[in-house]
Amino acid sequence: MGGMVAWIGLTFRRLRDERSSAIAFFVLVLVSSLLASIAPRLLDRVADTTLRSELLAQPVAPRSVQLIEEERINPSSDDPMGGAKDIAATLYARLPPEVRTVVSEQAIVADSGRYRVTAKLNDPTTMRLRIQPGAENRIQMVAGRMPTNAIETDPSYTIEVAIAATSATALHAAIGDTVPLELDTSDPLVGRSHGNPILAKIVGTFEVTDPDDPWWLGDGGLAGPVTRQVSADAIVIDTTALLTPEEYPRLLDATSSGLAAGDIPTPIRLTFREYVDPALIREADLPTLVPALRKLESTYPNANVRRNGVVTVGDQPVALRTGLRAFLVAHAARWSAALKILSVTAVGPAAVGLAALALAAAFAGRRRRAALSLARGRGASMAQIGLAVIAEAILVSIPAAFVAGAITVLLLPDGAALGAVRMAVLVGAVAAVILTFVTLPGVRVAALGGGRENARPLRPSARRLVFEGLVIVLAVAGTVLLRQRGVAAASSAGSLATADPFIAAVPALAGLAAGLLAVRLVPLIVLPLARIARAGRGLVALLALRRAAAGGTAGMLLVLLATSTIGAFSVGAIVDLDRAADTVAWHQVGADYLVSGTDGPLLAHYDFATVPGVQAAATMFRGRGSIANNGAIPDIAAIDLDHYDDVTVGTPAADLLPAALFGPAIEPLPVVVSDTMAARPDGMKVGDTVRIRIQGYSFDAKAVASRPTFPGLEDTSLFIIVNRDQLTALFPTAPLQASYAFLRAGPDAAAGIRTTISASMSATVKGRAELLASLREAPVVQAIRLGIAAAAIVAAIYAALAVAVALVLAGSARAIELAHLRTLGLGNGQASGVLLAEHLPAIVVAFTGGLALGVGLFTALAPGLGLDALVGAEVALSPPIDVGLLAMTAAGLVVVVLLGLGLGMLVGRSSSPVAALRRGFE
Amino acid sequence: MTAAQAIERAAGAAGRARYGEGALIICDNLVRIYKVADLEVVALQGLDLLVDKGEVIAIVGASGSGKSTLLNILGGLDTPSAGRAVVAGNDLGQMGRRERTRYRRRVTGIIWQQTDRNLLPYLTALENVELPMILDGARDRRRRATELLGLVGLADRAEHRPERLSGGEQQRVAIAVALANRPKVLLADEPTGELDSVTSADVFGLLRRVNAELDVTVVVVTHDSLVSEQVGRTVSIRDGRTSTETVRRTEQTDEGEHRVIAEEFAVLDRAGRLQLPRAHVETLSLRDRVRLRLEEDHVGVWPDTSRNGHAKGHDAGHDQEGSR
Repeated sequence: MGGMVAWIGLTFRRLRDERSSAIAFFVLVLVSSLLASIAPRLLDRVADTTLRSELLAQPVAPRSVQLIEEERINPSSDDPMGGAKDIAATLYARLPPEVRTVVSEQAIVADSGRYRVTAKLNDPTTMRLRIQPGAENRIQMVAGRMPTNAIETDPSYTIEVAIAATSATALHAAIGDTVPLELDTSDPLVGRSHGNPILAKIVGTFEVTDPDDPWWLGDGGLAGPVTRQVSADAIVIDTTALLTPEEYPRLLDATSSGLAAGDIPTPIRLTFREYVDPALIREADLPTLVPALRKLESTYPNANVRRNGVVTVGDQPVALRTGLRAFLVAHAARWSAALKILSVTAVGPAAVGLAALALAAAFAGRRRRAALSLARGRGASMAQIGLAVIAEAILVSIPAAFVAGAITVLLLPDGAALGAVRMAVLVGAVAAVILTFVTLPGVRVAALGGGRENARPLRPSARRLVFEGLVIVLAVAGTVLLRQRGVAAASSAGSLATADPFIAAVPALAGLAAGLLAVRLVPLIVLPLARIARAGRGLVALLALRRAAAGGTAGMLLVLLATSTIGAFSVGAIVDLDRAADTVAWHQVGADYLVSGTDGPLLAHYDFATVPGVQAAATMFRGRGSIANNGAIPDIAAIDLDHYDDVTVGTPAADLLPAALFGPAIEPLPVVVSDTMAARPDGMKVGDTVRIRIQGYSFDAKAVASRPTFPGLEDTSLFIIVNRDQLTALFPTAPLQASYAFLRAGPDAAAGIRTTISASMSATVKGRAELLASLREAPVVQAIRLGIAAAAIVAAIYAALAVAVALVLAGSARAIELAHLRTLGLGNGQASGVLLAEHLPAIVVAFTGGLALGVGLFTALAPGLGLDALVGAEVALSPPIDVGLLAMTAAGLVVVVLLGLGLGMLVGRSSSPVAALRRGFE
Repeated sequence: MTAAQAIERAAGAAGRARYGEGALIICDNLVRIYKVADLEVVALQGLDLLVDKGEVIAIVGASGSGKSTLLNILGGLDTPSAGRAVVAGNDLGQMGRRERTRYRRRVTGIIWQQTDRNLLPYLTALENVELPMILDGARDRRRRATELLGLVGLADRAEHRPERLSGGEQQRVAIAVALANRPKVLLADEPTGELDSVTSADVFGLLRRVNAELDVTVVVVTHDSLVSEQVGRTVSIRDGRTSTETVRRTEQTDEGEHRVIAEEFAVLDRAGRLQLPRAHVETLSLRDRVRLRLEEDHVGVWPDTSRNGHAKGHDAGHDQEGSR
């Protein structure tokens, strides 16, 4: 045992002399282990950040949990809202523990039924009375005071209220005014209940400090009046008045007094708000949180409020209102898709890292062989040699791995430290194995002086050629499969698919195959150059090219080829994401802005062109139609095409509809059908003429084109688009009221457009620029962009390290050769030039081949990656080639390689030729 | 052949001594063929060699004659393709890997011409000498290593690394390394090839001292005539076979002076083949076939004049009848 320790101790002495190779390998292992251990934590952090960002981007109400009970809860003597609070506590305790973990705050809102304001106003106006503890901290009194329970004996049941200043304006009321109220029987809460008129005395007006405060859960009732469109040309102004909790008994009395026997008093809607804090939700919690939410949804009906006479929580149908589970499930699917893409992109840098490790190991191992062969000649057994090699590999690799693990834990403390260290040590172990397996086979007892048996055959063996051919065949097959099947393996409906590891590794396999081909091709390129150099007088070119033709740059070639491939692939992916987002934005909005009615058609006869900032406007009618003698029931969209042309001229949306739709109104009218319509046996193919019926009118139509989708029609796959002017010409009395409006306006007009339109009708305004920004900045898309960029950067770092290591070690190994040449008069610059020129052919082949391969691979694999679908593209777009960005990437890679070359040559110059000659040892 | 005759022949064979019995190194019809890509190189073509215990012999030959191949085989670094090689009772053609490793540790010590093949540059002289003992698991390594360095006259340079030693000192350390595990045979491949004549003499003198004091058999492969002239026997190898041996003995003249007599012999192998010295062959233009004549106490060799015309310098009139 002591002998073994002494033997290993002696072999470690070598590391003192050959620090460069040991340090180079140590650095590579450190970087690799650091990346491997930090990547999962970073991914977890990105996953959590992405999830929370997406949650925060959602409207506040759907991402929280609201339990609603419509009941008249009796007040308790010491706390008017005591009964409601007890119910709140009971409901909270009944939440699944996983849900309670993510709830940060609770609140109670008590709403009365809706009352009509019977005073004469410009527009019908309503008022709801609300008690919302906590609201007083989030408003600022403008005038007057907060209401109290002071009025007790007024038989007309006057209740003190405070309202938003803007609501007071809408009511034409001031401080001290009394607003007469009558129960609005159209309110579902009121239903068939009864209530006598009451009076609301305005004692104060306020402003909501921050209407966007998540505490309000998106409920802007107290912030000001809300316009509600009840028909095509009628609106109602809804207001909400604030009461204090002490007024709760008064509210109950006011809403029940004077009723006849048998009359049911109006219930109070109690909303128990459980505020979900996105910061408390982690991606890793979803597998338990989603089932818990599903259990919650199965426990309570979905906001299907019913009235009930019994007042215990256990017996009351408490309704649930939340969109959290649906969002989390959708997010999980998106993140799963993103992970698959990231797994494909991660394989590339991992492969480059492995190649770089193998390259460094090959150099380090080669330098060891002479010493190990000497020891073998002195009687060292293969076991002793193996032990020494393994011990040195462990000595160089494992400490680096531990350091990497420690750095990871310091930089990203979240998560189990052991996991990070374990991952780092695993990579260190792999590096040690690579170093061992690269070194050992070369240690044999050959004729140490002759080397006749060491002569390498010039041609590769048949076995080697078969292996390389197999790799190429597998790469081609994998590429085809990935393009056809996509990244996800087959999965059962409803379950999340997992990435097929073979298919995910296809890009790396393709890179390896290309590398093997390049290694075979480089000598074919270099040999003629070497012959030309021989005819010339340049020493550097002659020496370098002769050396290059003999091989030895294969390792560096593979690393650089893989890096260039990853760089070009990443550029393609990022550009594709951007372009897909842009296309999706145009396709989803169809113009700069799309206005759509929330409660039905848009306001009739509204001239959208007069909205401030709008340069052109066009409208679109949408209604359900039918095709004669046909089972299909498509949506008919009639577009004001002449104005639509003005809206979209010069934009990508201008090509959405063909010119054939224009023209006089002569039957059959030209129409555009959806792709699904065209594909259905009972549908309408391009070229077919059918009779279409809409709103009681019939006309002949001929399909002139088909489209997969159209703005405003994303929720249906069966649609027919027709020129509205042609329809109006045929049927002048057809109502064809607009459901959508397309607006042309600049991005800075968004706020003004929204304000103007929301004041006139109940509608939403979707901006294309905003949608594009949200698509591009969507957390999942950002995560993918970050992952792709990180993969390219990591690959570039490895390339620089590999080039530097290769030059340092090659330079050191060839110190004797260069020292001899220097004794013949070779200058320092020429020596550096030889090293540089020797590697230049490999670098050129690697760059050009790698960039071409990266572009080609992305073009071939893009349909299978699903990048376009991630931003919502319905169809795969043809992959883009951004020459400018590609050139920049190539330039960046050149800079990286030059840095590596510079570093390698700098270190190589530092070795003394005299010392090398005297040392006489490689 | 009848059965009785076969039995008689076998009995006779058993009675005769086996070739080389008693010698420390036995090479019997040794053949070594290398296959490099599609090429076959026959480095040894049936070499016979016997070395007795305690001898110091030199092996000389032109480049490519096979002497390094022979050394590699005797050193356990290579295996013969055919024939027999036995060193100190170890049949080198029959050994497995483990036995070969043990053989290299304990039976032979090798000294190469180049320092980088003798010494590890990152170890001191003392550590280099200890290395074989560590590999063999020997105890008391430090004391023995110090002893050996003292034997070679470098006790004061024990802590020096090879780069701080001169060429001669490096070779002396290499000798100490080779002696670490008390080998029976020292094999030296051009040990003085890179040294000047004075240093060469020192190193070779040390080898002879090692032979005399430690009773280690020494086999030196050399081009150096100064070396080959100082050994008792010089074996010349040509075309993969032993061709001649030069045996030296010291004689006292009538005047009382000591003089060294060197006699060159052509080696006759067991098949009865011998190689004529090249000078003789070229002088007489001996080619293709020669005529032999058995005399009372010698065998005469004549060129074949029927093909080549008159031969030079010898009686061309002898014919087959005359030789009888």
